[in-house]
Amino acid sequence: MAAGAPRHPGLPRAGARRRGAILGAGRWEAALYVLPAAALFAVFIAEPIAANLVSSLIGPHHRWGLGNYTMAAADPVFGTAIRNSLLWVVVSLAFEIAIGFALAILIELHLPRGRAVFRTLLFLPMVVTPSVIALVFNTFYASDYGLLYGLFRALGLASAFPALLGAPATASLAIIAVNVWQWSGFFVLMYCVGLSAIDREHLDAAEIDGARGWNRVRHILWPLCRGTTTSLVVLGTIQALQQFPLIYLMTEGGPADSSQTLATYIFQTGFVQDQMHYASAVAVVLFLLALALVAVEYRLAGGGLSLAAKSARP
Amino acid sequence: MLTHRPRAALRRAATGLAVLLGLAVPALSGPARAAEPVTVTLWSWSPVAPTMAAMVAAIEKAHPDIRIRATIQPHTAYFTALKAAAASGTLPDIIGLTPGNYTQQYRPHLLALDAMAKAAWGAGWERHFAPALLAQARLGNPAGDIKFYMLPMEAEVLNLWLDRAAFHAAGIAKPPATFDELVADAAKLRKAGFIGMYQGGATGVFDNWVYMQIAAQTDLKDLLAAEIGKPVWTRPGMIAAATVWGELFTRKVVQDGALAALQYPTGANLFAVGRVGMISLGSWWLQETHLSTDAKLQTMSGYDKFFFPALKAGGAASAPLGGVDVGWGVTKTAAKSPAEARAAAIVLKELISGGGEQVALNQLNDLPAFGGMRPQGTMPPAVRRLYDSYIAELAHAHPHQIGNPVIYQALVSNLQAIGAGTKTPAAAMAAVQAVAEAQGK
Repeated sequence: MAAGAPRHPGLPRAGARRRGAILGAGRWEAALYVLPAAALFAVFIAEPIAANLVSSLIGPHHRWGLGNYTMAAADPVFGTAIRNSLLWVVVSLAFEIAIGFALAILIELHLPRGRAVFRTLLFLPMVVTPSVIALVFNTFYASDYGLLYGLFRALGLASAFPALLGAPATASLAIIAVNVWQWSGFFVLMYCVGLSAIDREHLDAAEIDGARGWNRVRHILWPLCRGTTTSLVVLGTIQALQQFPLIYLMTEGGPADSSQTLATYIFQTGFVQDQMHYASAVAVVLFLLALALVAVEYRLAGGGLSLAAKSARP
Repeated sequence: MLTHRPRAALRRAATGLAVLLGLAVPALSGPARAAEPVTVTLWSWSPVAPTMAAMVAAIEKAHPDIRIRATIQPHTAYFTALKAAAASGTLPDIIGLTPGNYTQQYRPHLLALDAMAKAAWGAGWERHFAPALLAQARLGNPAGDIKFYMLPMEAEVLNLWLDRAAFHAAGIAKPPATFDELVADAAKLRKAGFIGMYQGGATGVFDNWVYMQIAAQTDLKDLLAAEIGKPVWTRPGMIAAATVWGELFTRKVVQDGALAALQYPTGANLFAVGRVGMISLGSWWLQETHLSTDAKLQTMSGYDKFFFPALKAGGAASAPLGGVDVGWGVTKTAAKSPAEARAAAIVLKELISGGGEQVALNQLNDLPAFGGMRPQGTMPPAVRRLYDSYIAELAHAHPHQIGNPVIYQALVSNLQAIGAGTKTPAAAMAAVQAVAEAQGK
């Protein structure tokens, strides 16, 4: 683009505009339309974020500065919380995308009848309240009386039964598995939307060219669903980082803080330990982490958030 | 024009008169307005909602000029809502509190209750409460501040409960008298198909309470010092208690996967349906006599209580730990109008020593904090025996609250690490000690 050329061809060059033209009647009207949303954003999102940032700078003994952040750097539970938050994003997304995409292909392209039934069934866990899910899966995982334990006992493996939620090494993964169970239905549904938007001609042409089976999935379906995947990665990342009820209700972040994430640690430090300024600092870190992860994901995916498949025309 | 001006003046005069009348009529109708009930708002997590509803009905019946809008929420949700309400200046008039941590968190929003207590129960009102309960009520007050910001309604004693049928099925005749017997009984119970001793390890407060019951034997003096924030966690007796706590896991006294288990609702439900041999609960278990429809629970004939058994042969079981279960604070919201303040004072008295508390006691919600209060009506013999023994034990029970929430959380986390085998008792107590020292700075 030539220097000084307008960024948008339809608009005059900035230097050539008069002030009156910039704030013309049309723009005032546009500003008025934006104003309600902007006001809501300012009051309910921007101001709380700013207030939280300010709160995070009030350190121990009410001294201003980065005291809470240096305290966090030396806090082993904070380190565990960051590691677990990243684990949640990576493991949840990997399984949700894999399961979601595979089941969507199965439903949309290979199921002759009853697609709506399967989509509904798979989506059902999404509408169940987390407290119920937590209670059910606590019982599912429980030693002595749990369903999983019953299975092990039936196989004569009772003595080898792993207390998944009770061991620091597996507690987080056991809760992530529940999260994957709950959210995969949503991923299936979104991929179903994406796949159903693919032009049938594309698939027929690919088949004529010999693209079948895994090749069709890898070279045709997956690239055409890139917009859907990008959107799901962003949504899934935010969901995984925000996850609180399942963790708190199933382990309270334990045992020994091993399943603590940034979200649960904010609650524990702020509401249980009454260290609201420290909790604010942890919240700022969570905010920045979410921002960074989403930015990286968006960049890697080349932008383009969409729930529908890419355009039929290359 | 000449006629218009007087008309306009008349119109203005009439309008002014109407405005004055509008202002004066409601003022003149004062007595009718005064007859309207004053609303007192109350939030808590305890007592349970049906009990609170009955308490409210009893208080409103005795004081028709007062309406109580009570909101009962689960523990976590309640304290989260309270935090938000305090930050936004929308606290209710009366709030349920535990001593120490929570009372201190909300102290800036609470009224000192000394004058209210004097008005309610006269000079020397303190004699109506056990000294230990009053000491707990002031736990964590700044040095020199001897005012009361919460007053206890009910008290509790911690102990272990056993299921007689499970013991009988496992061939055990009596509660374990020593730690070795506890280990052996748990094994027998397990062999008979029961959970030996259920531990809801994911519910931190019960990890904390079991450890404290053990420490009451190994080093009571330092335990009491630790409760008020002294960094004494690495004293030999405190580490010894942590070692015994660890043995509950390594010697399989508690069930496999205990650290993932919840005391409520899971543990209590399993105990109620007869799947558990022993469980750490407390005096509040007696309320099942009113909440349950099961005859075994209604009469408590199938259950018995005991304290943590002696760690050495010939030794004594742990001394009772207990204290304030739930108390009440009156917020500065109530002071906004004299009528509301007066109504809040009346409700406070009713909740602690009046019709409200009587209803709670009749439902065996827990033990009374106010001297002389007793449940009315008849009780099954087993319930009477248990209740009377609790009342006797409460009189000399040692406090069971750790005042500082950060130290409390560190203790829970490190006890879980011992249970999981990721820390030795000495290392875990050193970690708690470090937190306690940092908090003391």
